[in-house]
Amino acid sequence: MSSTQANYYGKLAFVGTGEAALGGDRVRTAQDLAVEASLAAMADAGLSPRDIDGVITASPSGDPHFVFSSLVTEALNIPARINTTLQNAGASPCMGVLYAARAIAAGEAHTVLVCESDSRAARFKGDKIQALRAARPWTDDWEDPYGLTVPGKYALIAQRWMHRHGGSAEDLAAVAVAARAHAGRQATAPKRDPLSIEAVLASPMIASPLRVLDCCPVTDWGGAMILTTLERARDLRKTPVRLLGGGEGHAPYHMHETDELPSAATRQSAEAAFGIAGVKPADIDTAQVFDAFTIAALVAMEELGFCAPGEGGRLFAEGHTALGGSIPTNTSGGMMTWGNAHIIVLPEAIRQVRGEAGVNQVPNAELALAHGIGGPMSLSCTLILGR
Amino acid sequence: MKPDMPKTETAAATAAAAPRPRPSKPVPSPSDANRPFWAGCAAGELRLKCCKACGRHQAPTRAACHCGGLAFDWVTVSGKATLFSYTVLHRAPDPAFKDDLPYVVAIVEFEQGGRLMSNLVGCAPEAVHCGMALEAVFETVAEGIGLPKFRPA
Repeated sequence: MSSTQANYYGKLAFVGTGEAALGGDRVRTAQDLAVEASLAAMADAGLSPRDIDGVITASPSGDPHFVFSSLVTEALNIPARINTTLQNAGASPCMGVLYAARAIAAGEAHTVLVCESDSRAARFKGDKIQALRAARPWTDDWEDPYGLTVPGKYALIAQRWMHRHGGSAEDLAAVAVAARAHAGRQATAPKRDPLSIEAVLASPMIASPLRVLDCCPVTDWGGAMILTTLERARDLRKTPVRLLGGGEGHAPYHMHETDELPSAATRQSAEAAFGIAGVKPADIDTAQVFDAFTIAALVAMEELGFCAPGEGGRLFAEGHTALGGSIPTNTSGGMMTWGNAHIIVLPEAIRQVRGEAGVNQVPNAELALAHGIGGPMSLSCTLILGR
Repeated sequence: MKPDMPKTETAAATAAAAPRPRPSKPVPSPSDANRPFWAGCAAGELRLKCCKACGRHQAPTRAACHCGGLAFDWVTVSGKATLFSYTVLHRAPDPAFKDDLPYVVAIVEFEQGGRLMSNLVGCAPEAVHCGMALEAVFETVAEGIGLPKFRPA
């Protein structure tokens, strides 16, 4: 396996990152949000659209389009040599970075914009579970006739985790409580009041054992970052944040076909990323992991190797993921705070390594991990970023 | 608008007067690759794919076995299974499921091997637990298409 190991890690760097400003009553399409975030990333890097020669976007569900990346490239007048739209659900942003790295390493582009945006809140008003289901362009004969929902899929993982490890709903709730603590330190966070385990357990049940407060809100979002060679990065205005490791993990999409829940996808992606970077979980200063549902972050921390299987709830409940803990996690407040913006892990990891994370900065953070999952948890991507 | 088309106002009035059609649940659309499964369920029996090379039973979604085998027999199995995981849904994906709330979605594991997503029926949601013994029951949802569901054995 290692004979084909990629040799470009450590030689590429993030030079810019940006996010679209959320909130208010502005009316923006997914394209508008991608453009806004991309321009913010370019301003951060001190680059113009004419300096970019590759574009990789995720595929939005609020404003679906077969060639979404072409819309973004067109709007920004980017002279793209590579340009593609990825659909790997919540893993799209991290996997977009991997594809950008491959393109740069192959000499097919030198400076690649990776962005993800969506307009779900603007489009899916009312009952969001039903609206999201209605907007999905396929019917799955092996799941949909039984009335399964996306929260239901993560609930199947949660129930299995509780069965295997003797875990409880309190373990899940601890993840939401920890996220709120990180949100509470930020003036711009939508919800800042401390959250209690009791409040999570008192929120309405969605799909047992997951309750409303085990699920992230549905929002509009846009995020972007720019990857280039380390050589070029050194000439730009911000401290380069190197891509030190990356890996994918894959398991069957259908949950009934996966050997265990969660699948081994996250573990596989983590082992690849740590192996390439030559570091281990204990070396990581901060982790930014997929947390659309409490159970997702809980099992991600186990599968990434930050704690033993079955210990994920305790990791969050005992403060190990808090600022000052052994592995400050989702320091921005994550998707639990900001909504289903999968890309949120990357701008925050970049800010942490640069020392630009403000009130939630992890002192002297040198190594950050970013993680995405889609499927649910059937495909995963783990990236390791550092100075 | 063509002269023979009804006026919009008239169509709207008709729609308002008529009872709203019941929303319908998704019905599988069999392909040649999986028709024996759905037809089996309509006939009251559970059919899985069994690898000719290694004998492993598996769900109909597989076109290749873990062993690499590409040839399968459709075999009728007992329908006896255990509960691998489950969730009780309190919010429906679709108005068609609202009357069923709360209902149980489950992953079941067959005694011969292989798993499927399904519903648990005939069991109070609070009595459901991982590992419980189940047996298949069948619900015909269209001509030649049945859905396998499971109840406590």
